[in-house]
Amino acid sequence: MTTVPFSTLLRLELRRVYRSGPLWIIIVGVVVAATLGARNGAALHARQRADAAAVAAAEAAWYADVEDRARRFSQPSKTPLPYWQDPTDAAAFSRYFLRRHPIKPHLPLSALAVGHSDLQPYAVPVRLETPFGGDPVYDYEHPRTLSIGMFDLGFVLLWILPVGVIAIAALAGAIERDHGILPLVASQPVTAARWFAARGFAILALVVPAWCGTTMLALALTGVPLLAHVGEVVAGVTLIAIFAAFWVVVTLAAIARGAGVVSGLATAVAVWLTLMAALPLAVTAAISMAAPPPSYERYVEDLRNVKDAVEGERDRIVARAVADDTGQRPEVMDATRFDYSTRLTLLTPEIERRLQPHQTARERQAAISRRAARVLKWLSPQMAFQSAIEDLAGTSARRHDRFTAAVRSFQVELRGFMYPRVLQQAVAPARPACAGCPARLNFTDYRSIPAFTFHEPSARNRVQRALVSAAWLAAVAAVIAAFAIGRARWALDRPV
Amino acid sequence: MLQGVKDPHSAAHYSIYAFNPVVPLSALDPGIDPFVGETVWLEAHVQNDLLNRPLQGSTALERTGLADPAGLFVRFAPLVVFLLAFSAVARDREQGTLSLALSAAATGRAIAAIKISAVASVATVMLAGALAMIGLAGIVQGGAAGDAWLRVALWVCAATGYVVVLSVVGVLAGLLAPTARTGFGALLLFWLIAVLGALPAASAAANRSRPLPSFQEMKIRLERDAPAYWTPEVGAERQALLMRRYGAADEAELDAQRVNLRGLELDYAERLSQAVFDREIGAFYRRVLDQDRLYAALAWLSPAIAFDAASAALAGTDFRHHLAFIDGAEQYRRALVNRMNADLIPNPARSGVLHTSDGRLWAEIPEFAFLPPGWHTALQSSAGPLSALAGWLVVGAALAAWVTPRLRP
Repeated sequence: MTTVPFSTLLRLELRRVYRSGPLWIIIVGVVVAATLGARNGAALHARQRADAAAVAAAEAAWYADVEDRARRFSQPSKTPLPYWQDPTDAAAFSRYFLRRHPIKPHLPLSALAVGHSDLQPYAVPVRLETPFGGDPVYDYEHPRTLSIGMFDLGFVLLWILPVGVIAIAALAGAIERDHGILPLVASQPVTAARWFAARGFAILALVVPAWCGTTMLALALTGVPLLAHVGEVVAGVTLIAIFAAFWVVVTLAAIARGAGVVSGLATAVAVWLTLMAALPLAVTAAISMAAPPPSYERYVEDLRNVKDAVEGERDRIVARAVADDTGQRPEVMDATRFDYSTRLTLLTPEIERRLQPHQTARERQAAISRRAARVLKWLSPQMAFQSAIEDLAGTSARRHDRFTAAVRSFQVELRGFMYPRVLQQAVAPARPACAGCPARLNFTDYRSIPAFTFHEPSARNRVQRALVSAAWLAAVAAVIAAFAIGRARWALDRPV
Repeated sequence: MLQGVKDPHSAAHYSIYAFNPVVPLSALDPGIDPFVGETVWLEAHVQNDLLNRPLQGSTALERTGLADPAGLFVRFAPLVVFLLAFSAVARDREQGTLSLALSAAATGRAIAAIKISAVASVATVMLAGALAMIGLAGIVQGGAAGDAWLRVALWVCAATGYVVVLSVVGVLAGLLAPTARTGFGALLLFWLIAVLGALPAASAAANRSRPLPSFQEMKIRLERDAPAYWTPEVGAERQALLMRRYGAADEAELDAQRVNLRGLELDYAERLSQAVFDREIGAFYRRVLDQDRLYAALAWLSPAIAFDAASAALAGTDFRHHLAFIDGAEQYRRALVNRMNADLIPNPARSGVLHTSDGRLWAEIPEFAFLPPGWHTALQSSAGPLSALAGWLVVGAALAAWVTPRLRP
């Protein structure tokens, strides 16, 4: 029996696949959805960038106002100036005037996936007395949108792309079965593996460029400078290509045993639903049962109790803290002479110390959840792809965790800057720098207040991580492809 | 109550945390609850944001794996219904019994009606019935009143309506499509567009048509127009104004009238800030409601949107219900702070010693008790989407009545 060359088979299959009208309808639909999705994501991030700029401008204006007040109050005047209105007093400044808003900037490819950027804050006010980091703020997106999920490019890639690929692969892949010509195919001088591989390659040749091109087009239309970030773009395209290929081979595996379109579609969609919804649901339920999140009601109750207790022991704690710092004996320290702001600098560490068990419990629970997510990533190609594109886009929970940790470090740095100045003034007040001026003038060096910097892994690191995920997806896809070809050989030996 | 003796203004700062009670049907449809704060600190000077959004620090896994029975129902029930419908119709087609039935006495309309009824009944019991059990368990566990029973009954009606619409679509696609392949492809496309894509697309459209003002800029305006701590110049202006109101030349004259200038100033600032909060935060939340109204109006585009909007409203987990808590908590905060300031005003400092109050004043403040809105609010919110769902039912029935007589063996 003469064997048909693979190239001939591929050419024939390509012609057949490319002539299919419904496939082009699906592709056009995906292009439209991806473009709209990318626009929505980019619009959200543009708003957030504008808001971040507004926050930075407001902070700059605030410090200009503070400097202006300092100048005004540095003129001799008989108008009394309560300490809490005096920005030149270190203690008052630390409580009433210090403003810093660490900002988490968006990465160049942020339109690729909104990820968690609609839920987690990008600008976090930092105050010295807030326990364990920045204020618990958020930017207000409509909670319905948060609940339903945003119609962004990530949604299209994660939800629409797989279903689109499955539909295309099933429609194009199982036509012989539906037309009842599978036995005829089996009688041709073509081996099952060859024919099925040619069919698979033809579908891949349609789907992969379509999906990658759609994504690039959608990003380009939203103004992402693709050429300026070639490494990340290539990593993103590679991920999408392999993800699309993965779903092609899953669908082909579903129809390889000679199943029809309906059966193939149903099987592949069931696999997708299992990976997309059932598996995360089951794992999340298991985590919440095994390690339930700490109760926030209990935290609030303990926070109140701890603050009350610390307030009750206020003078003793303040005296001991000052004594520790200055080497004086606590019993000779008159803690009652310190103002509220000064006391706060000494009481806050104690409050944090007493609340540490709550913080530890929260961190432990978060660590368990993160660990489960990392494991699931290697079990579910869907999760692996989702976390990889969110990583590339800079909208992942992982990046936000890093930002939160950086904000906490910054708060500690700010405390390290302000607390010694407050304490110094409380223990050994400087002589008034200006006789007759209402301002206390013991702190005016506003420009030396630390500024927040967010050090994060380089683009190269993100690309490497994305490529590792892509390699994993490719390996899984290759195994499934081998299984599909083997299954097709078996099915064609016994035509349906 | 247990604050002891202290300055009433300090007591107003200490105040309370108000917790939004979990509604019994949130196990059935958590709606927006995982994405909004569940508690708020009601303190002087500021209308704080709600704290502790359950999913704020979530991983991708937790967000994807959120236990949301109604959310899963609205998205994936169509697939189950379509598979049921398809197997009911496709099997008859493949075995030739459909042609046989059509060529016999049975009319296309009767066959379609029977198949739709069968699919809808099985799917309703299997899906809506199972989910209703979750709602009922929530009611029994929470010891809820008749209001919750009515809500769950309405929810089941809405879910049944949704399943019936899907059954009509599924059976008609199976009967009318030239091949099984086309029919199933069409249903998958319908699911992709009218369910999976329609929900976020409608939400995005509503947000885009009625964009929210920038939350950060609103915060900046709040800090500018209602600062918790003001400058000495502003303080001096206010003091002059307040003393003029009392015909006093200085604080000593006010003291002589037994009026506390600090109390007056705090009260003045508080009422000023309340007006600013109404203007800024009130307008913001009105816009959120506008978006919800538009989203509900888009229910005419897809039965999935209709059910989604109605479900959260009926479960009491939509924004209107949440706003009722925000408003209730803020009214309580204002009453509390105003009462503390009212206690300060007639009590000036004596010989430099600030006025303090004790348990007798704290006992005057009632406990914060929030009563969630009743079923009539749910009905008000869900009337639009439920009408749309009814409209989809009518359209489905009319379509079935129109096309099924044309079915040929």
